[in-house]
Amino acid sequence: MTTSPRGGVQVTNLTWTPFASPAPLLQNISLTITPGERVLLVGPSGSGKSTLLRAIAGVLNDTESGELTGSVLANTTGLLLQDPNDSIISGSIFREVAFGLENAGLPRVNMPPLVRKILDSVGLSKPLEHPSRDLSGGEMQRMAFAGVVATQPDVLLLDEPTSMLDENSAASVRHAVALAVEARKSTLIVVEHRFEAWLPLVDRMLVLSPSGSLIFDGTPAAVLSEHAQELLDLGVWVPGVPTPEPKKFSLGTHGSGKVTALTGMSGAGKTTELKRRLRADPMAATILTGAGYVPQQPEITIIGNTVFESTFLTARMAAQGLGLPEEDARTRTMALLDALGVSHLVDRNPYEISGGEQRRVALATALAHFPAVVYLDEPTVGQDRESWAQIVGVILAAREAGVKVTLATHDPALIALADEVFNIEAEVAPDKLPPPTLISGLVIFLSPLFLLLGSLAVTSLASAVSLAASALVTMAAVWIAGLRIPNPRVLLPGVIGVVSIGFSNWYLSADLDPQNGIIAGLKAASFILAGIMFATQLRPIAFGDQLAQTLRLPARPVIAAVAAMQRIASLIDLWDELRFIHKIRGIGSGRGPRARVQEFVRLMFSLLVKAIRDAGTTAVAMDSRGFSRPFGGPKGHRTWAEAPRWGRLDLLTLCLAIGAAITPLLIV
Amino acid sequence: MSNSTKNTTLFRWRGIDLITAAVLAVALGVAFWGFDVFVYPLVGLITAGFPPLGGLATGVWILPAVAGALLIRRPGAAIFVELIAANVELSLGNAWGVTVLISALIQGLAVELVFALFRYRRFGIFVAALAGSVAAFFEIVGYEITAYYAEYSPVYKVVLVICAMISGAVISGGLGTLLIRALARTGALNAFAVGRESSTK
Repeated sequence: MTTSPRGGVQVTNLTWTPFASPAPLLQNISLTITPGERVLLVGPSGSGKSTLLRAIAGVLNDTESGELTGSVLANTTGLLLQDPNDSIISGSIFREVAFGLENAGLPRVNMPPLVRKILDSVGLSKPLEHPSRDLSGGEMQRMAFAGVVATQPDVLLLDEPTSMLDENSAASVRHAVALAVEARKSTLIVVEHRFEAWLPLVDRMLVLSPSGSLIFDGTPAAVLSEHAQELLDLGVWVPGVPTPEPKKFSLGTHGSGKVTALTGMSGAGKTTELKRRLRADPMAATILTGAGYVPQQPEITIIGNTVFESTFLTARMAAQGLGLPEEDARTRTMALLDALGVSHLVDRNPYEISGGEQRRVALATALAHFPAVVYLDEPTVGQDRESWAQIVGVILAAREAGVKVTLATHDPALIALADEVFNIEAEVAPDKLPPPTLISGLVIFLSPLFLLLGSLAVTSLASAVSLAASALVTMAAVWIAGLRIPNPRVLLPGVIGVVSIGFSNWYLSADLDPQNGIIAGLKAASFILAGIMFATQLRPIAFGDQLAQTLRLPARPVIAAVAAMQRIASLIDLWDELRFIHKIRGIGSGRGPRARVQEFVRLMFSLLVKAIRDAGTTAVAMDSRGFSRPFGGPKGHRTWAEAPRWGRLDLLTLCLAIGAAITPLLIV
Repeated sequence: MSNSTKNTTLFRWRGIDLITAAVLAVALGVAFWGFDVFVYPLVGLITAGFPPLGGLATGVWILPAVAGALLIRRPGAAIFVELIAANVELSLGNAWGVTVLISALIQGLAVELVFALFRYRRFGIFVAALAGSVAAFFEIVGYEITAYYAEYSPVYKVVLVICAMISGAVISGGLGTLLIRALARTGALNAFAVGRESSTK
């Protein structure tokens, strides 16, 4: 076996068959890429472009299971994914970009200047402490790219890096890529559907067929001129060819339909505005016949085991509710699926079809029950020419049938078809920095634990009162020093818990002495309420630094836990969004205990499916920055960009808690 | 995959094992928080007359540990998932404060103990139910009776333990198994052994 030269890639007879898939996704691919070559990889949706990039990045078998034959030889690679949200694992721009440096074992002192330099090179001038989620789409993608560049890869692999961005933001990302490639003479492989703007940057073009084999390979000019018609037949967006005609389709004719487009820079708030309008729309409150919705992540609309079941569900319920023939609803659902080119998938598991197919199924789902209004978030993103024409054809048919269509999009051809266009301007918010923590993670945990230990020594009413009183002093001191509970309601479950403990310890004690209840309640109150109050201060990243550096817990589990904890807010948003989607899909509105439990189970299930799938993508983003390789520091350790931080109240809080814990021992 | 390679990889977690386990924990934590809003008030009403019946809800809090073990199938998964889920509960506000971490540690260790007895090779519904009910036993006997229910009369303590163990077996073991199997059927777990088993069936 020979090693490829720096920056070269050698793929030999690569075949990849995922478990659960009847046919290979990549078929017998062989190719040689020489160092410094800049390659564009195209092909229709589902042809395995992303899979090939992941195979070259060496993360395929880490994240998916399947049968891999053949070989891939590549030097250090860096992989940039479509959605930068999937790569985010920490709170600040600095920590985000430094992640690869930490894994490589770079000394901490070198990190801030180096990260600054890399950020400048991608044109991101925000302060290092700037929150990583508080960026526009283009900025966030450039931050993610900086994180990849930081690992100094010889081969840059970009997986649809600009498909979710508006033209200006996309140009800023391409510019950053061009500079990085030029500076390091890196090899580049980029996958993109709408690739015209990338052509000046690449010198070779590879085309994958729908069945995952390499069919064309040559200079972009040669491939595009020699195979133009074949590429068009595959649905490839060949530059210079006009946008396809929307496919003719009819849902009937009925006056007053309209298409309203919300457009604007990526991250300016198109999605937020679309959701705001949807929730404010009185039709969305009209169960069953009111509204249809395709969110940015279409898979969260799935309910049921097959594509047809999920698409038909709301239409069937609407037909039943209105006393209309179910057969008509079934026919319309099939017609929509057919018009969108997904009718062959009706019996498939809706979670296992491609993302582009899921988006089209979601559009059929949104229209199948003939709503008065539909709201579509980026309906044409990531689609090839053929699917684009189908989607736009259906949108126009909906308008003709009297449906009010509101869509958020950055697709110029789609905007051109709208009756009304709103440009959403980003609100310029001042750079927000996170508030300083008053108590750090370890103290948040240790203080109530001392109180709990103290409570074990409680034997009399007097000692219980003294413990509770000194716990109260500890809480008051922290309150005076500035710790505020953001929402006092978080204390409520604790108060209820304490009361219930007090009550049941009286009611169920052998001698029914009220003193039993009071002692038990005071004991519990002293550690429970302090614990809840302090927990409002918990910051996963700072806590992770303490766990890994102060307590020397293993680095990888701590990093994974912190990355996941960062997702709490977005998972709560997702929970909320799922509830809303279920509501407008006509389910989950039952009030009885059984309906509630059923709806809870459905919500939990949808949440888990989505969260676990996204976790796989995050794992790819982390592994491609060295998370699972042996760490690069001396003795195989990783370094940490920041030292554990201690809050200004830590010592006081800890001393007070220990003092409080001792008081029961002092009182006999 | 032969048995010898299986053993060498048992302790070496892949990136996706770690991230998925952690995200499973956070998502379950968020779902439990939603459970509080949706369902738990009902449980509270039902058990108000006879608090030891509250033990019947114990299995809900052990479910992450069992689900984690069933998904990842490696030593430490139960503790890892349960600890993170407890942390999420904590950040979102719960009735027990920081002490949920003690519960999480006890429950996670007990679940590990049972799967370790089967040498991390058996992940059927029986082993899962056993793990859930053993964890519930240790949770109540090893911790809650001292911290919360010290004054209960012996009879009620026994009733509480029995209720909790039934709950651990049915909710954490039974429902945990059903949950992981249902997730596997969606293809979301294809990168894991449990997902492969589901797709080859």
